[in-house]
Amino acid sequence: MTTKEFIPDDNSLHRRVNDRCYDALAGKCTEGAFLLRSKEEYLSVNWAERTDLQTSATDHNSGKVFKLAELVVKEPRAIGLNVEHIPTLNNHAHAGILGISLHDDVQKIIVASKLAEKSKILKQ
Amino acid sequence: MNAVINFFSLDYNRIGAVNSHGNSVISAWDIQLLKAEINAIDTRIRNEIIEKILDLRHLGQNWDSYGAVPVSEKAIVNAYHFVSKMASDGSFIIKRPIVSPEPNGGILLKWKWQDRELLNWFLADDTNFVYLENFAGERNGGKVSSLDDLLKIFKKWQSG
Repeated sequence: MTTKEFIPDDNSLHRRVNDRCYDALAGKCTEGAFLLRSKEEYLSVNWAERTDLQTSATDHNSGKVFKLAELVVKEPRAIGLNVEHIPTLNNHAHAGILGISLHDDVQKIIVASKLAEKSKILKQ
Repeated sequence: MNAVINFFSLDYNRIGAVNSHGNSVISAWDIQLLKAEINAIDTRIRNEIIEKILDLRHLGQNWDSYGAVPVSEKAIVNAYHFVSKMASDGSFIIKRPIVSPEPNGGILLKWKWQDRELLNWFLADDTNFVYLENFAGERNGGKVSSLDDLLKIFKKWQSG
């Protein structure tokens, strides 16, 4: 099924986090987990209500399991970003955080900082 | 009765202590020992930070599962030089930052002090450096073109 749906504000998003982007003392992920790559148009996430923790935490190409950051949908929207369902054939839960400046590094790091602050790391 | 000793300065270059009569109670020899101790601590912290920076070289292609590229040599060298400059400057106390990679091949160093944060971003292939100050949720950032300018930003941030 690849029908695009609206993601409600009170739903959540998952993003995989490498251990090196995790601040164990604070129990939070670093900005490195939410920085856009130069050729990306949006930040890839999974719509939590359309998947499960294990699926979201696993990179299906390598089989490696990551830490998982959870972000409530209303948080990126509150800072002017869009959250859209972008389903693919392999992943109906795939979604994106759009509207992050592609060329302004200062704006990119500000957005990453806000998203990292609002996210929480789920226990695996 | 215990003597009242006032450490009038813990600034590295002006270490001293006086009693209630204003007389110095710390000898030049003690000051040298104290400075040697501070230098040893600074060196140890510097080495710990540099070890974490160098450790990022082990991250391969796609380390975040979203297509991240390995940390660049340029970012490592710049972060290394910045930390070395901090340690050799001697005008402030070195604190341990959070060392993190970022998916474009750069390095992030973030310092926290109470409700203030300073994040330095060493870009993968650029001679500019990005910084971000966060004071109780109020964020301000910018770009500078040299490590010396970045060090000035750090000093200003640390002095509050």
